[in-house]
Amino acid sequence: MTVIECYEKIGGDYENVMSRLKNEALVKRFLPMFLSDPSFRELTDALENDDVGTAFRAAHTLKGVTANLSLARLNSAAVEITEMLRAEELLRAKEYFPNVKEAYDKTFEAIEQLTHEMP
Amino acid sequence: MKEMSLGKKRTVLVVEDDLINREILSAILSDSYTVLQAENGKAGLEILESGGKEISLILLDIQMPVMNGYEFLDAIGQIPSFRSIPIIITTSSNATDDEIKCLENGASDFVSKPYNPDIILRRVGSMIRLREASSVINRVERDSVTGLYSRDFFYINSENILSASTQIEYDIFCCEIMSLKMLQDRHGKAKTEKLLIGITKALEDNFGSDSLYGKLSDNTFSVLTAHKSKENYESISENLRNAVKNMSIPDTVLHFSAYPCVDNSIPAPSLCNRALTALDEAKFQFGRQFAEFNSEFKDKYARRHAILGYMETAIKENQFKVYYQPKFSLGEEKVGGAEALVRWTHPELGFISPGEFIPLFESSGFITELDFYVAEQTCKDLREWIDAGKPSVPVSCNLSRADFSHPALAETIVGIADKYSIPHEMLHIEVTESAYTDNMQAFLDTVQKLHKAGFCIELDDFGAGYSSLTVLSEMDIDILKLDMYFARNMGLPKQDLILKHIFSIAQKLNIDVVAEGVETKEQSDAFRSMGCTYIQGYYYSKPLPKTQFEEYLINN
Repeated sequence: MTVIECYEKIGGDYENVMSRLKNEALVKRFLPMFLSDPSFRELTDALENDDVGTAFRAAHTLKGVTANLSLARLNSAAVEITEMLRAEELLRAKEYFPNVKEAYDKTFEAIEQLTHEMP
Repeated sequence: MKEMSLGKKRTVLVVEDDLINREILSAILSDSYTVLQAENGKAGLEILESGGKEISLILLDIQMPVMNGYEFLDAIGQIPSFRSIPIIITTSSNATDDEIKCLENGASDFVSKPYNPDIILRRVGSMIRLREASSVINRVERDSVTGLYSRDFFYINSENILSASTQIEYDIFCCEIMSLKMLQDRHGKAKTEKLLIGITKALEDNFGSDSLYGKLSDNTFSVLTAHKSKENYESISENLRNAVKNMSIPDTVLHFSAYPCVDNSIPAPSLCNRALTALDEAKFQFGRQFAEFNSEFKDKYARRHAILGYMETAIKENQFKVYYQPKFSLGEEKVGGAEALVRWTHPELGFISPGEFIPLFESSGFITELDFYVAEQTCKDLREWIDAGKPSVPVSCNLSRADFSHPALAETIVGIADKYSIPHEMLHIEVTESAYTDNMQAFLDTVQKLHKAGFCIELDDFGAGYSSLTVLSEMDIDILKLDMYFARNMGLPKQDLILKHIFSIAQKLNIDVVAEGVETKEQSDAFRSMGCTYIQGYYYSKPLPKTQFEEYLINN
């Protein structure tokens, strides 16, 4: 799988990330780091514990990281849930969470595959 | 200046909780800077306190565990030696309130995620240059002339008082001397020092021994005092004005402001900034001597924030337009040149006056990019006119005082002119005297380089504020632009005498003179009789958009 194919598969914006970071080597360096990024797990845990403050911060971080990597589909889900948590609407956020999870799982899977195929 | 930017690598501290964001920032910055990383505010503070490296700039995230961005800003505000480090906030673009709060709490600028390396490098570079060029070391405890606390010590003592008292409400009062440098030039050092001591005594007479006094800058005094009514401040202001009349320089002009019932949860520098914001209000409204900070100023912060947030897109989307104001040549009785002026109409905010956005861009460093943009547009237009066989005249572009901290200013201007193969004599460069007072040597060197490269140098706003005739002998000036003040006050006997002398000196030095702000035939005729070379102003034409200017050139 090429980096472009990976971005296509997960609804990322390859052109955008390349227009900013300029070279694919950098993108390839950062993408695998996403696999160990703790913000999604922190979001999951905080929602389970009804900890709105921590959940907001984790969602906010996830939003920043996905924006920086131009993971557009996951980013828009992160944006949505961040705003719900900013408004402390915990129930709505929990209801919405499966959308974030779905996008995250897809993204994770594709990046994992890409990483395995890297030389 | 050059050695400074080509010399040792500067150190930038990135405070951000997420590893990927941190690494991306580091990757962007590491070619040009040594990058230190901290995963939260506390770790960042520890790096600062360990003092191993001198930090030139901090990039700060707001949402972080352990110690968030606000707590970090607050902590840094408490430590005088860290206060001067510029801080750029990294945000996600839609949390406007957070950004405003940060700007109010001592941050200098913000960049939004996703990171764009070009923007980040430019912002970081210009912010560091700006701070290094204008850095004032303020580490002594007391001002040597007045004995008052220096700025940073006034801050610390204010904060101590504010945090210790829960009962009393405090105000910050500021007093500023207008054109102090000019007074010093005219009356000498001894009289100026006497004046400063006199004002100190007058302040102490009015506020008493239980207030705290400081000197925020050369010409600004500050007082932390128990809350007083607006009427009370107005009468104190009146007292101070009267007191000055008996001092060593009786015609000194003072302005006053207060921030009443200060919010003691925010750091002292921000408190003083609020009082100073109100001071600007008092300064720019004629006849007003005192102004208070109130909730309206909140809107000003918000607007300032909006304007700074829009500037990058504005340049990308060509929202800035170059207008040309003709300079009428009195000898040839036709248009002899023009000045390129920038105009900005924002899709949402509408027309924004250059008087509003230029000072903001000067403080953020963005002005340099805008000045280059205007120079480039001008060269493009000149090239088009020449190629199409249309009439063309030399056009002058402005360089802000802030541009002179750019290490390759002259080279960049030459580069832009040469990119469009514009003969250098077709492009004039306007500079102001204020740039000269900021950093004399860098300014003179750059001007000399530009002059040697064949550009005409125009000295703008001559006669406004701190004007010195010595600048005429030290600088390679070709054209002197008289401030519009002279046109407005035409006919006052003293002024006419001064003008005659300026014209005779200019003639002897072989310098052409442009009168600006000329609105009537009478003013134009008066300048003509004094030997003025060019007239610029509404009497001949207002600034015109490109196509209208082309028509104007054909008809005139």
